[in-house]
Amino acid sequence: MSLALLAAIIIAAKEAMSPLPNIEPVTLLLICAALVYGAKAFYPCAIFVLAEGLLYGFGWYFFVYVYVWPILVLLVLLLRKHITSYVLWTVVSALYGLFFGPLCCLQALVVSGWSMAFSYWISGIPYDLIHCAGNAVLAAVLLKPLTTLLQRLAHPEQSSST
Amino acid sequence: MSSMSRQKKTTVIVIAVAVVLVLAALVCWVSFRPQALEGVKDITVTVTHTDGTVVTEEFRTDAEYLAEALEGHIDIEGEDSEYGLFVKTVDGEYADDTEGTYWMFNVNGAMGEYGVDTQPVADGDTYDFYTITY
Repeated sequence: MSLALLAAIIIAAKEAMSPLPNIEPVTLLLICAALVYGAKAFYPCAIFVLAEGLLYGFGWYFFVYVYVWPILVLLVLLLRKHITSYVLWTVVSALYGLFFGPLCCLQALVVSGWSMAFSYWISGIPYDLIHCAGNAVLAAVLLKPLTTLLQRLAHPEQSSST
Repeated sequence: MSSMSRQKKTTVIVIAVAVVLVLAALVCWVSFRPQALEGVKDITVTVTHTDGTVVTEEFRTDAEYLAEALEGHIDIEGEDSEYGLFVKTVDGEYADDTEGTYWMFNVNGAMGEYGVDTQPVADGDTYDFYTITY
Protein backbone atom coordinates (compact mmCIF):
# COMPACT_ATOMS: atom_id res chain seq x y z
CA MET A 1 0.00 0.00 0.00
CA SER A 2 1.32 3.44 -0.83
CA LEU A 3 1.88 5.89 1.98
CA ALA A 4 -0.26 8.47 0.14
CA LEU A 5 -3.19 6.04 0.14
CA LEU A 6 -2.63 5.38 3.84
CA ALA A 7 -2.73 9.15 4.45
CA ALA A 8 -6.02 9.34 2.51
CA ILE A 9 -7.45 6.53 4.67
CA ILE A 10 -6.41 8.36 7.86
CA ILE A 11 -8.08 11.59 6.66
CA ALA A 12 -11.26 9.80 5.52
CA ALA A 13 -11.51 7.73 8.72
CA LYS A 14 -11.02 10.81 10.87
CA GLU A 15 -13.75 12.69 8.99
CA ALA A 16 -16.09 9.69 9.17
CA MET A 17 -15.72 9.52 12.96
CA SER A 18 -15.72 13.27 13.56
CA PRO A 19 -19.33 13.36 14.87
CA LEU A 20 -18.18 11.23 17.83
CA PRO A 21 -16.77 13.44 20.61
CA ASN A 22 -13.03 12.86 20.87
CA ILE A 23 -13.20 9.32 19.54
CA GLU A 24 -10.82 9.22 16.61
CA PRO A 25 -9.00 6.61 14.51
CA VAL A 26 -5.87 8.73 13.86
CA THR A 27 -3.92 7.49 16.89
CA LEU A 28 -4.66 3.86 15.98
CA LEU A 29 -3.74 4.27 12.31
CA LEU A 30 -0.55 6.24 13.00
CA ILE A 31 0.58 3.58 15.50
CA CYS A 32 -0.09 0.89 12.84
CA ALA A 33 1.79 2.97 10.24
CA ALA A 34 4.80 3.52 12.50
CA LEU A 35 4.92 -0.17 13.47
CA VAL A 36 4.86 -1.30 9.83
CA TYR A 37 6.64 1.50 7.95
CA GLY A 38 8.95 2.85 10.64
CA ALA A 39 10.14 6.43 10.09
CA LYS A 40 8.26 6.57 6.75
CA ALA A 41 5.11 6.95 8.89
CA PHE A 42 6.04 10.63 9.18
CA TYR A 43 4.91 11.02 5.53
CA PRO A 44 1.21 10.08 6.02
CA CYS A 45 1.35 11.98 9.31
CA ALA A 46 2.51 15.15 7.54
CA ILE A 47 -0.07 14.74 4.75
CA PHE A 48 -2.83 14.29 7.35
CA VAL A 49 -1.78 17.43 9.26
CA LEU A 50 -1.60 19.46 6.05
CA ALA A 51 -5.03 18.18 4.97
CA GLU A 52 -6.48 19.21 8.35
CA GLY A 53 -5.12 22.71 7.75
CA LEU A 54 -6.67 22.81 4.27
CA LEU A 55 -10.01 21.50 5.57
CA TYR A 56 -10.35 23.55 8.75
CA GLY A 57 -7.97 26.45 8.22
CA PHE A 58 -4.49 27.16 9.49
CA GLY A 59 -5.64 28.36 12.88
CA TRP A 60 -4.84 27.48 16.48
CA TYR A 61 -5.49 23.77 16.11
CA PHE A 62 -3.30 23.39 13.03
CA PHE A 63 -0.22 24.51 14.94
CA VAL A 64 -1.06 22.04 17.71
CA TYR A 65 -1.38 19.24 15.14
CA VAL A 66 2.01 20.17 13.67
CA TYR A 67 3.73 18.80 16.77
CA VAL A 68 1.17 16.59 18.49
CA TRP A 69 0.88 13.89 15.79
CA PRO A 70 4.59 13.64 14.89
CA ILE A 71 5.25 13.18 18.64
CA LEU A 72 3.05 10.06 18.53
CA VAL A 73 4.96 8.65 15.54
CA LEU A 74 8.27 9.43 17.26
CA LEU A 75 7.05 7.76 20.47
CA VAL A 76 6.12 4.58 18.60
CA LEU A 77 9.49 4.54 16.81
CA LEU A 78 11.28 4.85 20.16
CA LEU A 79 9.19 2.16 21.86
CA ARG A 80 8.78 -0.42 19.11
CA LYS A 81 12.05 -2.17 19.89
CA HIS A 82 10.93 -2.62 23.50
CA ILE A 83 7.20 -3.33 23.12
CA THR A 84 6.12 -6.51 21.38
CA SER A 85 2.73 -6.98 23.05
CA TYR A 86 -0.43 -5.56 21.50
CA VAL A 87 -1.82 -5.16 25.02
CA LEU A 88 0.98 -2.72 25.82
CA TRP A 89 0.42 -0.86 22.54
CA THR A 90 -3.23 -0.56 23.56
CA VAL A 91 -2.08 1.06 26.82
CA VAL A 92 0.22 3.39 24.86
CA SER A 93 -2.71 4.38 22.65
CA ALA A 94 -4.96 4.98 25.68
CA LEU A 95 -2.33 7.05 27.49
CA TYR A 96 -1.70 9.10 24.37
CA GLY A 97 -5.43 9.97 24.43
CA LEU A 98 -5.14 10.95 28.10
CA PHE A 99 -2.11 13.15 27.42
CA PHE A 100 -3.50 14.68 24.22
CA GLY A 101 -4.99 17.57 26.22
CA PRO A 102 -1.77 18.40 28.09
CA LEU A 103 0.13 18.24 24.78
CA CYS A 104 -2.35 20.68 23.22
CA CYS A 105 -1.90 22.96 26.24
CA LEU A 106 1.79 23.41 25.40
CA GLN A 107 0.76 26.05 22.90
CA ALA A 108 -1.31 27.86 25.55
CA LEU A 109 1.71 27.62 27.83
CA VAL A 110 3.91 29.37 25.26
CA VAL A 111 1.29 31.98 24.28
CA SER A 112 -0.44 32.72 27.60
CA GLY A 113 1.59 31.20 30.44
CA TRP A 114 1.20 28.51 33.12
CA SER A 115 -2.06 29.68 34.62
CA MET A 116 -3.94 29.63 31.30
CA ALA A 117 -2.38 26.32 30.23
CA PHE A 118 -3.39 24.73 33.54
CA SER A 119 -6.98 25.99 33.19
CA TYR A 120 -7.12 24.67 29.61
CA TRP A 121 -5.90 21.29 30.78
CA ILE A 122 -8.42 21.12 33.65
CA SER A 123 -11.29 22.15 31.33
CA GLY A 124 -10.33 19.43 28.86
CA ILE A 125 -9.92 16.52 31.31
CA PRO A 126 -13.41 15.02 30.70
CA TYR A 127 -12.62 15.03 26.97
CA ASP A 128 -9.16 13.54 27.60
CA LEU A 129 -10.80 10.70 29.54
CA ILE A 130 -13.20 10.03 26.65
CA HIS A 131 -10.22 10.19 24.26
CA CYS A 132 -8.34 7.72 26.47
CA ALA A 133 -11.27 5.27 26.61
CA GLY A 134 -11.95 5.57 22.86
CA ASN A 135 -8.31 4.95 21.98
CA ALA A 136 -8.18 1.96 24.33
CA VAL A 137 -11.26 0.31 22.81
CA LEU A 138 -10.22 0.98 19.20
CA ALA A 139 -6.68 -0.29 19.78
CA ALA A 140 -7.85 -3.35 21.75
CA VAL A 141 -10.18 -4.37 18.93
CA LEU A 142 -8.39 -3.18 15.78
CA LEU A 143 -4.67 -2.71 16.38
CA LYS A 144 -3.62 -6.32 15.85
CA PRO A 145 -5.78 -7.08 12.75
CA LEU A 146 -5.00 -3.71 11.14
CA THR A 147 -1.25 -4.00 11.76
CA THR A 148 -1.25 -7.55 10.37
CA LEU A 149 -3.23 -6.42 7.31
CA LEU A 150 -0.98 -3.42 6.74
CA GLN A 151 2.08 -5.65 7.09
CA ARG A 152 0.72 -7.92 4.35
CA LEU A 153 -0.08 -5.00 2.07
CA ALA A 154 3.25 -3.30 2.68
CA HIS A 155 5.34 -6.45 2.31
CA PRO A 156 3.33 -8.91 0.11
CA GLU A 157 6.47 -10.95 -0.64
CA GLN A 158 6.83 -11.86 3.05
CA SER A 159 3.21 -12.89 3.53
CA SER A 160 3.08 -14.98 0.30
CA SER A 161 6.07 -17.04 1.42
CA THR A 162 4.43 -18.05 4.71
CA MET B 1 12.18 -15.74 35.92
CA SER B 2 11.03 -16.76 32.42
CA SER B 3 10.67 -14.07 29.77
CA MET B 4 6.94 -14.87 29.54
CA SER B 5 6.27 -14.20 33.22
CA ARG B 6 8.50 -11.09 33.09
CA GLN B 7 6.43 -9.79 30.18
CA LYS B 8 3.21 -10.48 32.10
CA LYS B 9 4.59 -8.65 35.11
CA THR B 10 5.57 -5.66 32.93
CA THR B 11 2.11 -5.62 31.35
CA VAL B 12 0.39 -5.64 34.76
CA ILE B 13 2.64 -2.83 36.04
CA VAL B 14 2.07 -0.68 32.93
CA ILE B 15 -1.71 -1.18 33.12
CA ALA B 16 -1.63 -0.30 36.85
CA VAL B 17 0.34 2.90 36.11
CA ALA B 18 -2.17 3.80 33.36
CA VAL B 19 -5.10 3.30 35.77
CA VAL B 20 -3.36 5.49 38.38
CA LEU B 21 -2.81 8.23 35.77
CA VAL B 22 -6.49 8.11 34.77
CA LEU B 23 -7.57 8.36 38.42
CA ALA B 24 -5.09 11.22 39.00
CA ALA B 25 -6.59 13.13 36.06
CA LEU B 26 -10.07 12.55 37.50
CA VAL B 27 -8.99 13.80 40.95
CA CYS B 28 -7.38 16.91 39.38
CA TRP B 29 -10.58 17.67 37.49
CA VAL B 30 -12.78 17.29 40.59
CA SER B 31 -10.37 19.39 42.68
CA PHE B 32 -9.59 22.24 40.29
CA ARG B 33 -12.57 22.60 37.94
CA PRO B 34 -14.35 25.97 38.15
CA GLN B 35 -17.00 25.89 40.86
CA ALA B 36 -20.38 27.39 40.06
CA LEU B 37 -22.06 29.85 42.45
CA GLU B 38 -25.80 29.68 43.11
CA GLY B 39 -28.06 32.70 43.62
CA VAL B 40 -28.80 35.99 41.94
CA LYS B 41 -25.86 38.09 40.69
CA ASP B 42 -25.56 41.53 39.15
CA ILE B 43 -23.01 41.53 36.33
CA THR B 44 -21.74 43.87 33.63
CA VAL B 45 -20.82 42.68 30.15
CA THR B 46 -18.98 44.86 27.65
CA VAL B 47 -18.30 43.99 24.02
CA THR B 48 -15.65 46.02 22.21
CA HIS B 49 -16.00 45.52 18.46
CA THR B 50 -13.06 45.83 16.09
CA ASP B 51 -14.48 49.09 14.67
CA GLY B 52 -14.31 50.59 18.16
CA THR B 53 -18.04 50.30 18.93
CA VAL B 54 -18.63 49.41 22.57
CA VAL B 55 -21.78 47.67 23.74
CA THR B 56 -22.42 47.48 27.49
CA GLU B 57 -25.13 45.48 29.26
CA GLU B 58 -25.74 45.50 33.00
CA PHE B 59 -28.18 42.87 34.18
CA ARG B 60 -29.22 40.49 36.93
CA THR B 61 -28.90 36.74 36.44
CA ASP B 62 -29.18 33.52 38.38
CA ALA B 63 -27.13 31.62 35.78
CA GLU B 64 -24.11 29.77 37.14
CA TYR B 65 -21.92 30.08 34.04
CA LEU B 66 -21.27 33.01 31.71
CA ALA B 67 -22.60 31.47 28.47
CA GLU B 68 -25.95 30.83 30.13
CA ALA B 69 -25.97 34.31 31.70
CA LEU B 70 -25.45 35.97 28.31
CA GLU B 71 -28.60 34.39 26.83
CA GLY B 72 -31.10 37.10 25.96
CA HIS B 73 -28.50 39.86 26.47
CA ILE B 74 -25.45 39.33 24.23
CA ASP B 75 -25.59 36.87 21.32
CA ILE B 76 -22.67 34.45 21.19
CA GLU B 77 -22.15 31.63 18.69
CA GLY B 78 -19.40 29.10 18.23
CA GLU B 79 -18.43 25.46 17.93
CA ASP B 80 -18.06 22.78 20.57
CA SER B 81 -14.42 21.92 21.15
CA GLU B 82 -12.29 19.96 23.57
CA TYR B 83 -12.25 23.05 25.79
CA GLY B 84 -15.96 23.74 25.63
CA LEU B 85 -17.66 26.31 23.42
CA PHE B 86 -15.14 27.88 21.02
CA VAL B 87 -16.72 31.32 20.56
CA LYS B 88 -16.48 32.66 17.01
CA THR B 89 -19.23 35.30 16.94
CA VAL B 90 -20.08 37.85 19.63
CA ASP B 91 -22.87 40.39 19.21
CA GLY B 92 -22.94 39.65 15.46
CA GLU B 93 -19.20 40.08 14.81
CA TYR B 94 -17.35 37.03 13.50
CA ALA B 95 -13.69 36.47 14.41
CA ASP B 96 -11.95 34.35 11.76
CA ASP B 97 -9.56 32.03 13.61
CA THR B 98 -8.08 30.87 10.28
CA GLU B 99 -6.79 34.46 9.98
CA GLY B 100 -5.49 34.32 13.55
CA THR B 101 -8.33 36.43 15.00
CA TYR B 102 -10.08 35.26 18.18
CA TRP B 103 -12.66 36.50 20.65
CA MET B 104 -11.21 36.82 24.15
CA PHE B 105 -12.71 38.01 27.41
CA ASN B 106 -11.41 39.55 30.60
CA VAL B 107 -12.94 38.86 34.01
CA ASN B 108 -12.72 41.91 36.28
CA GLY B 109 -9.89 43.25 34.13
CA ALA B 110 -7.77 40.09 33.96
CA MET B 111 -7.74 37.61 31.08
CA GLY B 112 -10.33 34.86 31.60
CA GLU B 113 -8.83 31.46 32.29
CA TYR B 114 -11.91 29.40 31.41
CA GLY B 115 -14.15 28.99 28.42
CA VAL B 116 -17.31 31.03 28.24
CA ASP B 117 -19.40 27.99 29.20
CA THR B 118 -17.19 27.04 32.17
CA GLN B 119 -16.58 30.56 33.52
CA PRO B 120 -18.45 30.79 36.85
CA VAL B 121 -20.51 33.94 37.33
CA ALA B 122 -20.06 35.89 40.58
CA ASP B 123 -21.96 38.88 41.91
CA GLY B 124 -20.42 42.17 40.78
CA ASP B 125 -18.30 40.60 38.04
CA THR B 126 -17.40 42.54 34.91
CA TYR B 127 -16.79 40.67 31.66
CA ASP B 128 -15.12 42.44 28.73
CA PHE B 129 -15.20 40.77 25.31
CA TYR B 130 -12.72 41.89 22.65
CA THR B 131 -10.97 40.49 19.58
CA ILE B 132 -7.29 39.77 19.33
CA THR B 133 -5.20 38.92 16.28
CA TYR B 134 -2.00 36.92 16.58
